[in-house]
Amino acid sequence: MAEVTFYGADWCSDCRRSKSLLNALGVEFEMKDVEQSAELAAESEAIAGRKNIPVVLFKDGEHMVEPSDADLHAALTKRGLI
Amino acid sequence: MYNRHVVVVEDESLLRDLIAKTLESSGFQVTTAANAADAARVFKVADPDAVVLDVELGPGPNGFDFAESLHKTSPDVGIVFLTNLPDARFAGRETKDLPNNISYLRKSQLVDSNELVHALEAVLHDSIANEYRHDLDEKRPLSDLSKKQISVLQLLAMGYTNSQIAEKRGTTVRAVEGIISRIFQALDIDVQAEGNARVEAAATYLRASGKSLSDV
Repeated sequence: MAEVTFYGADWCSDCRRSKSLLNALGVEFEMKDVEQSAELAAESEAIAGRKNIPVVLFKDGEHMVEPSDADLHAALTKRGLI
Repeated sequence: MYNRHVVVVEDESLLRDLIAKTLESSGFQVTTAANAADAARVFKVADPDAVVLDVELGPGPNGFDFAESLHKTSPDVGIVFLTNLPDARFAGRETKDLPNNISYLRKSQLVDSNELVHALEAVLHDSIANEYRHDLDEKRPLSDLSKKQISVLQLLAMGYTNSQIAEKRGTTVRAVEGIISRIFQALDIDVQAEGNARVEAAATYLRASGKSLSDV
């Protein structure tokens, strides 16, 4: 499992924002496009507990739904990923 | 299915309602706003993926002003302009000042509401084609005029005299006369011919910016 798994879709503005941050920080992540299959959509919803994206899942099992850039940055720092 | 949220900013209430219903029937979650201030309030509470934005929004900031501030705070929100204006110069802007990832649709050029939906999809998927950039169409009205000429023509159409236009633009009457003379040339208006060249130029401007003037 990747350090960071990212559930999102290309039309979602918050996903673009969070992806831009991850890319800018050089954080590698596994992209799971919830539009690609019902399974991935269900997987994302099961983790988040709601139908919102992006969902950022960390290897330690914790996740964030629609995080602000500041919160995502802090979570990455906490895990030593940046 | 995940909800894709779109804000529709349009000052004409019937049109606003029709656009909202069209997008809702295509699966979008829609919030509406009647002007830029209204839209700014909506954006604070909603978290939209895209905005369908009219340019002429009555008194206050226009659609370009709103898009500019939106692009600074939320550059990832897709923008579809839906307007009567042929291009940004008609609102004192340059096309190059607009963000790249936009659609620009002229209301008069749309055949049906599907085109709006397709343009919106294109913006959301970062796949803008020229067919959704009506402001880059070489055949659009007054495409040969410069931004300065369009701005002077606009003042002329509003009924200002050359000296008033000169005062508004902080230039000389002679300079305004020169600009207007070149506008007449560009519009192929013969000042020696019968008829009022100034009125003809004003009518051309009004038609170009979507105001219909029928012959009687």
